[in-house]
Amino acid sequence: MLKLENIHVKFGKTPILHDISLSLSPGEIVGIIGPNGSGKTTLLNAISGFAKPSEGSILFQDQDVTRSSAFQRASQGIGRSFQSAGVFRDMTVEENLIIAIEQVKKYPWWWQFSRKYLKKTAEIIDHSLEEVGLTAHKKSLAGVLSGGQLRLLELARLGLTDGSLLLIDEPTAGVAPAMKKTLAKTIRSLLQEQKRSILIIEHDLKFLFELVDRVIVIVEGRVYMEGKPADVAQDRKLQEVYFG
Amino acid sequence: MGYFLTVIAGFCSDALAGVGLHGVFSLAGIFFLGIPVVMKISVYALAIAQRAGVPPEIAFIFAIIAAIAVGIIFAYLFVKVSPDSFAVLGLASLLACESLLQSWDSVTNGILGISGIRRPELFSSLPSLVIIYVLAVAVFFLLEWIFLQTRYGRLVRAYKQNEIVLQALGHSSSRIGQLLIIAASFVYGVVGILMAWRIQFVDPSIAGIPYLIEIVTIGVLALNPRVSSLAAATFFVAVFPEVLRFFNLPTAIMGYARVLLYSIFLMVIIGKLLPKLSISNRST
Repeated sequence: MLKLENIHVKFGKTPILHDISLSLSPGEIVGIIGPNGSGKTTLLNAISGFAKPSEGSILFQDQDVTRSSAFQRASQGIGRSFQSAGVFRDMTVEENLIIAIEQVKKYPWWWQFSRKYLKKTAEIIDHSLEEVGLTAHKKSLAGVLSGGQLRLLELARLGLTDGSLLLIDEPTAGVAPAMKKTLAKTIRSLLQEQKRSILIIEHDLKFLFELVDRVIVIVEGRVYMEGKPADVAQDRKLQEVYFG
Repeated sequence: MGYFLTVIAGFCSDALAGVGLHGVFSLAGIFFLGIPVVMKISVYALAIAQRAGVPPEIAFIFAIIAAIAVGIIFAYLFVKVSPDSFAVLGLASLLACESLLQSWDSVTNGILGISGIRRPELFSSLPSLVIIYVLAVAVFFLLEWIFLQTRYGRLVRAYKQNEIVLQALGHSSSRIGQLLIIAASFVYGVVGILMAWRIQFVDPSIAGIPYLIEIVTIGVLALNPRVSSLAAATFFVAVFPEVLRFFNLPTAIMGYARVLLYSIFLMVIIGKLLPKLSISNRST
């Protein structure tokens, strides 16, 4: 599914990621943890095309995408959510989802005025909003939603894309504890529905360890350790590095 | 009667220009300030072609091609420079274009300009030209309304709010911006040609900075993605300076007074209204 080989990323002359190699199998959900500033988001940026590696290669579904732009990678199936919810705040919740549907379905523009299209789109949106519990906000501007609801909207939109690899950046950041269960359920449903793979960055280790198959620890831009959640959680070195 | 026709023609001209700016500036947030350059080039293409004996209808096609060609150059530059530099580039190109038109005597007739631009037979009189103007406004407003309902309209609005998320959804934000610039250039080609046919004269000062200020005022006022807000903004800006006629100002300063009024108005809008009108967030 995804294979990173010796990836180096620099901002100007400052190295951020050093020699990162990792792989992800179809249907696998992998967590990335590490202290602030360790390069986790830069890693997602490198995979999704928002940061260009200075060395190394990125293979996605056996194709070299190292030099592809962000939108090309998204078209190829790499979906992405952002640290501060990446939604269109001046648009309604419904419109935020329609943009994702239209990208996947690629109907001719005149189809958008047909009843069949409107009905079909409404069904998809209603189903998607029902899953994340945002049905009542369908016509609201996304900008008025709470932090947790924005996260759910972003995940719902991610679910509507045809991405086979989803990169999720800190889904619980700024989210009330009560909503974390809904987020976890939504992320699981993203995985199960289309046999996707997910790479997820998260600081809430309890939330993450219950969700993922494998954890990769990044410290100062390098892969520090890798393993099953239970093994990683018990590692003394990790506790020193991660909790100080 | 002549006065009202002139006001209606002015309103329609501003409305068409507003359509061009609405997509690229109000909806997408691209500071494409090179629009007067597109107009200048298209009106001169029309005038030079007509002076060479080309019929007005064929000259129209030349002028549109010239406008789109200039739009393509701007679209190319759009992806090569930062958004701020692109705005400065637009203004600088306006001054450069004006200087070129003034100094290239053999082709443009310098500061004297080119007079005697003929209208097509179909609308050779002012009333018939005004009808064409009204029809053009109706067609362009309808096209914009359709555009806003389609996925492309949504993408343009999304572009202004969050380019990065748009890319993450598989859309090339550069391409969206480039297409908007070319589409706006086409509209400005039409605006320029109709303007040249209306006043039947072009000189290097046509579509200068005062005109840009007027059009940008419409663009800033019509920030909402609705045709109705564009129409209201255009009406306000086109009719607003007409109050000056009630102040018995010397004719010589009327033009300057209008520009001054627009400039003050623009400052008030930007300072007071703009923060309330937009909740855009380009960051992720």
